[in-house]
Amino acid sequence: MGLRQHRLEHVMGMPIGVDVCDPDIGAKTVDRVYRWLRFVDATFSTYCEDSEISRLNRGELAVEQTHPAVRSVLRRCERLRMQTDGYFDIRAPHHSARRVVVEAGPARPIDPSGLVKGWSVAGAALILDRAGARNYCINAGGDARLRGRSWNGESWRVGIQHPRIRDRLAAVLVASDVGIATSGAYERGEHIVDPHTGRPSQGVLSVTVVGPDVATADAYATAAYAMGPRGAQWCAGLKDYAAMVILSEGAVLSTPAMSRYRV
Amino acid sequence: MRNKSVAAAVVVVVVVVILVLVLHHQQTVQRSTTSVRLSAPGGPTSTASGASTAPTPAASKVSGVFTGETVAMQYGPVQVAIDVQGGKIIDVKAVQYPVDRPRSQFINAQAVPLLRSEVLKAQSANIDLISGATFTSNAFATSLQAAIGQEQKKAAAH
Repeated sequence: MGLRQHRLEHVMGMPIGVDVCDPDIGAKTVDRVYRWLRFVDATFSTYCEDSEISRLNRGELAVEQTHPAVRSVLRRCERLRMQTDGYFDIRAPHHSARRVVVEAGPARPIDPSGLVKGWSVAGAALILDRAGARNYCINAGGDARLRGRSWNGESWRVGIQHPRIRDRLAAVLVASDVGIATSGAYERGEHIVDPHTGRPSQGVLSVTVVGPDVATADAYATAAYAMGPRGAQWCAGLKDYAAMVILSEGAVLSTPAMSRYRV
Repeated sequence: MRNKSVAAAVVVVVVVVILVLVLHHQQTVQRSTTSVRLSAPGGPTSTASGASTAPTPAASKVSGVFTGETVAMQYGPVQVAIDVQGGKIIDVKAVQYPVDRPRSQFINAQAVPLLRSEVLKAQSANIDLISGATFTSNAFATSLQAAIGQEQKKAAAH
């Protein structure tokens, strides 16, 4: 059919794909999207020594001195923490297979990446929207924003990765004009922890959340994963967001709103 | 056949309702007391006992609202209805749930949507993108995504 741009670059330590199916949108617009994503990485990455988040954590920077985007993200993280009964917590202790780092008090380092990934995708979508794009897909390592139709004129088809068999899918969703985020412990050495116990969340393999905003979907997926099996019921109470939770024993729990996306 | 598969679906739904209630009570339910009889519109009645695992009615093209018979639970009667369109469950509602207990002890099934449960399957399908947990330096995700891009580029060129 029409002209289509597909680009895949590594930013923020993951492959980020941008597909634009509007012939009037040029490569320069896509360049702007990747410039934005690199700005987000340089500002928010906890792996980058010079990022504002790293400097905040070392006490070299006060919150008031940070970029307005950082302050806006941190305020939003705090609202999400309250909204999720503390299960979305950027101060949650980090957990690796070897050690649990639990530090008490407000000095505990922050890691807003549970929101930032989805938020960066939402920002990238805004760049495309403002350039006049109407049919596109941005996928940052599993957090995606979809708009309009794919290249073949149909809604976007999203495969939900199987949590145990890496080259298979657990489900296929068909969607447009939504954000999608999946949280889980597929490949990473570190796991999402329950902020209340500091231990890795148990009983859940993955949580996929679909709704109007990909950043919120990202945070909800992280929170629901941290809640363990009861996260599925929590998701069922969410307004405007659908969820699919894959439990360790192989059951898939979906909220009623999910059925509109399932094929 | 159709009614049977829908009946099986209602059994699954009832089991889910029971599990949800059990989770909320943190107490066990006497499974032996649960039994479901279904009356599907215009068809014979079939009986099934609870707590069985049954396939979903994905293959059938049945439509309509199916109401399960009231199930006696430790805490009172529970009854659910499913709305099926073209063989797919599109809505589940509890039409009756225990009300003689303090409200806090029970979920209000009308207010708290019920979850649908299915067995995890592995499948392959034609897709535009993948959503999974963060792929950090995951060569697989990169190559798979790139492959999808290539495939679509080819298709778009036609």
